[in-house]
Amino acid sequence: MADHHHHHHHGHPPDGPGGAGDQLEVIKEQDRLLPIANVGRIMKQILPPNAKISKEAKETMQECVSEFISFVTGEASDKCHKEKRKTVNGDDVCCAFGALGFDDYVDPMRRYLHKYRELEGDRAASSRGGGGGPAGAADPASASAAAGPSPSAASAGHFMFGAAMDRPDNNSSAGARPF
Amino acid sequence: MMSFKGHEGFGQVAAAGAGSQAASHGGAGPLPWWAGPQLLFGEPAPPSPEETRRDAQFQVVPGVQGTPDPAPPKTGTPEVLKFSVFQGNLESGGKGEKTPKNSTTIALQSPFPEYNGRFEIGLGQSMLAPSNYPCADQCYGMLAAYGMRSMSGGRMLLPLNATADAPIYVNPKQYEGILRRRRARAKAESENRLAKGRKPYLHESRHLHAMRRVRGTGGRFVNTKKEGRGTGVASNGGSKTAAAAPSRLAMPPSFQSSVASLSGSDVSNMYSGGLEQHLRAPHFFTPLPPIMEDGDHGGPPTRISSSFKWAASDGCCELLKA
Repeated sequence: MADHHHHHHHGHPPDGPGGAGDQLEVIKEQDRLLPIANVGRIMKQILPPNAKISKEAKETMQECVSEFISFVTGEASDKCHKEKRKTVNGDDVCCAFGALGFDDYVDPMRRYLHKYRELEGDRAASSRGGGGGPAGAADPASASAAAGPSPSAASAGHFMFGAAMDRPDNNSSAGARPF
Repeated sequence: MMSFKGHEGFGQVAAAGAGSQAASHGGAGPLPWWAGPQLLFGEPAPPSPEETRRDAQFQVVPGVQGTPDPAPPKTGTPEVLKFSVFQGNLESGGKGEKTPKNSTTIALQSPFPEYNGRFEIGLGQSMLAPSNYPCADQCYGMLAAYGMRSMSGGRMLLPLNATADAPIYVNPKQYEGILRRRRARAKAESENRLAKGRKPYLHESRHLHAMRRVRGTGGRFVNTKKEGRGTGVASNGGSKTAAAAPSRLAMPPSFQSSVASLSGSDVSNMYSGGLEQHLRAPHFFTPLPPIMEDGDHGGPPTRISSSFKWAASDGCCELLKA
């Protein structure tokens, strides 16, 4: 796991189109992986109170969940690319779970997304002072899309970061109500 | 590290059986790719010493094989996936009480060798990257053909790479996704954009601050906010915090050993030593010399920009808890 300690802080700019600013930098540990404290906290939720988790276990789980996020997000991004869309939203993530064979995850994810959009709609309505648009479902969807990754850049780094932000909430929700 | 080795060993055992079946059916080349869907519906022959010898030959000459899994799971796909996730969590947590099934092991096997291979080989991956593209095209065609027949029950064969000893069978729905991730990781490594290894800490200034803090008996920090409270809940929280701090303190020696490029067994021993120190509430002076050495090396500090505010806030929480 920690065999090599080579620090490549100077990245080589990639040749070709789509060279965004972020791609020039090295993908650091804190960008590639979820925070290890949050991972440990989520792992602790399922264990008895007196259980202990080694740092090696947390690091292994860090690698696993981060790769899983990239795996699912890559599938969602591929679908968006085919449909000429630049923003990956929650529906794309739900479809990606189904396309990859994680059928047991699709229904919980859709229920979570539904509740998230309801909450987001309530926040938007309260912040705007009741000046919502005629389509009640469209505003929460756009708000949810805005909360996701940046629509301007289509690089994988942005998608991974957006998915990483979404994943801990899902895990917390999973901890609150077991499926 | 040990958990990875365990996974590899188990995967090799299961994959060896699959390799035996592959050897009995045919050789390498573009033809097996299109013959794969047809072979998937055939009944696998039982293993025999003759096939074992063929398996040995297969090991010598690695190639792309299209053959069904010797023991395809009779249960549906969702149940298999559920078991895979469950077993994965258990084994990742270090609980090896239950023996996972062959199909579960095969499903779990796919990410780990890739990780090991990607971390170990630098230029080799860039050489492998071009060969993956035509393979991906063939795989896509195979996936389309396979989709017309059926989308459940069978397992698809991943193309071999330099790190895999035997073919690995995966869920056909995930086949294209796995290849996509392999290409993305190879691209990131070829462009030197992937920071390898782990640092003992992320921020130099926070590390120096933690080293300057006063430590009490057992190496824990003094004057934490939780010690001021006298409630039982706070005591429980303090216990968890105390459990976390020694683990962090115990890690730096093993990291320094990794920097020194010791052999695998020595690294394992250092990890075991770290765990023992963690269990024994390590002494105050034990981790000091390696950290001081690291300070002398003077690693380049990481810049904290606006995009890292989330991580920074999490670091604050961690410091307060410790």
